[in-house]
Order: sequence, then C-alpha cells, then structure tokens
Amino acid sequence: MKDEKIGPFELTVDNDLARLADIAEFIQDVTQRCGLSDMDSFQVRLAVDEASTNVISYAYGNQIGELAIHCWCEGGVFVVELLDQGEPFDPTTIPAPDLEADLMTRPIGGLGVYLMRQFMDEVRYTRNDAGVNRLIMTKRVR
Amino acid sequence: MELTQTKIGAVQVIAPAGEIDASSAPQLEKSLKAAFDAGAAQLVVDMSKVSYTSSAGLRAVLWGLKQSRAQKGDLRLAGLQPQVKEVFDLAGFLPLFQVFSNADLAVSSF
Repeated sequence: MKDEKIGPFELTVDNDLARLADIAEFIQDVTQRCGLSDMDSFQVRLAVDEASTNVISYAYGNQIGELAIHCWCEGGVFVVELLDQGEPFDPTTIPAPDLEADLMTRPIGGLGVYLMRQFMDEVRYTRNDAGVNRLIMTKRVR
Repeated sequence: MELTQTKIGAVQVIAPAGEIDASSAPQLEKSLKAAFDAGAAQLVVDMSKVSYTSSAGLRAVLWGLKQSRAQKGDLRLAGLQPQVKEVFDLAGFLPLFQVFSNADLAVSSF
C-alpha cells in the first residue's frame, strides 16, 4: 500500500439490510485499491458489516434513514467512518461477551461489537450537536 | 444465499452457500427451525460453501445448537473455511461445537 492518501471513497445507503451486499462490494473495492492483504480485507469487511448492521437495524427505529460510509487509506492506515442521523449508539460502551460461559448461559448479544473491536485497531464514536453519529474505525495495514 | 437440506438417516444436513450476514442469516434460521419442527434433533450444518459469516451467522448456529440440545440431540459443523473458522475461534465458539472437515464425517459421527 502506498503512503500517499488513496480516497476518500463514499457510499450512502438506506437502512435496509439488503444493502449489506452493496456495502461489502464497496469495501472490497476500496481495500483492493489500497492494496490490503486478503486477511486484512476480510477483517475490515466484517467490521464494517457489523457496524452497518447495527445502524441499519436500530438507528432509525421504523423510519427510513441513511447511512453514509467514507473510507480511505493513508500512511499505512485504513480508515472508515460511518455516519448516520439516528438514535445515539456507542458500541464502545458494549461490554465484551463472556466467551467462557457454558453453552446454556452463553450470551447471544454483544458478539458483533466484540468482533468489530477485535478486527480493527481503533473504534471511536462521537455525536455532534446536529445529531450526527460518527463511528470511526482504523486499522494499520502496513 | 442458496441453501440445501438433505436427510441422511436421522441426520438433517443443512448446507448454506455463499455469505451469511444479517440479511441472509434468517434463511439459515428458518431452515434450522423447519428441521426442528419436523422432529430432527441431529443436525449437521455443512459450511464448506460458506466464504463469509458475520456475527449473524454465529447467532444462527448457536441458536440451533441450543435447540438441538434441548431436543437431546446435537448440531455439528463441517467444512469451516479458514477465514470463517477464525471468526468462530475469535468469538469463542470452537469449544462449543464438534467440527469436522467434511459433511460425511459429521454425519457419521452421530
């Protein structure tokens, strides 16, 4: 991957889970342009999938809303931002699931956020006064 | 997502193909539920044609495993591709399931 900035690239989708395939294709295209390894590309794709799923599933309740994804790479770091104007949701406050729990007490929830935080180096959430939620995830890839 | 279902003796084999995300996972859940409703308790999920799963796929098979145990049976996995196996591993799922390299071995294990 070159050190100069590649991108930014942008995709906006409506909050429909059927759009996850479009998001995956978009991310795969950008990670390819940025020269990420197959494994890094897979991990970035998964993290974006999990974050997008949360926004699409919960941010807007029953209303229609949009999710904007911006990503770029620079100086060996891949950066992706997800922006929406729905309900606040800070995934960094979700505790890690108990991975040692036996089968019957093993929790179903919290896995998506956990995987996101494992596969990306940094996950940061902010919300501004205009009600825009911004989730920033970075991964050092070189 | 394509999905096939085959019965081999008492064992129900469900084979999704392609990518499992929050949009396609309900198909897998529906298939698992149909198997339980039909009285199956021994299931194999053949993952050999699955190139990707998010946590949605993990939740679906975990639900299936809990259901199968409630029916005094089991749900076993087959053919996990390396990148998919890594997701299962990271999520702490590998200790929960019996995993086989292919569906035939998984079916025979019952």
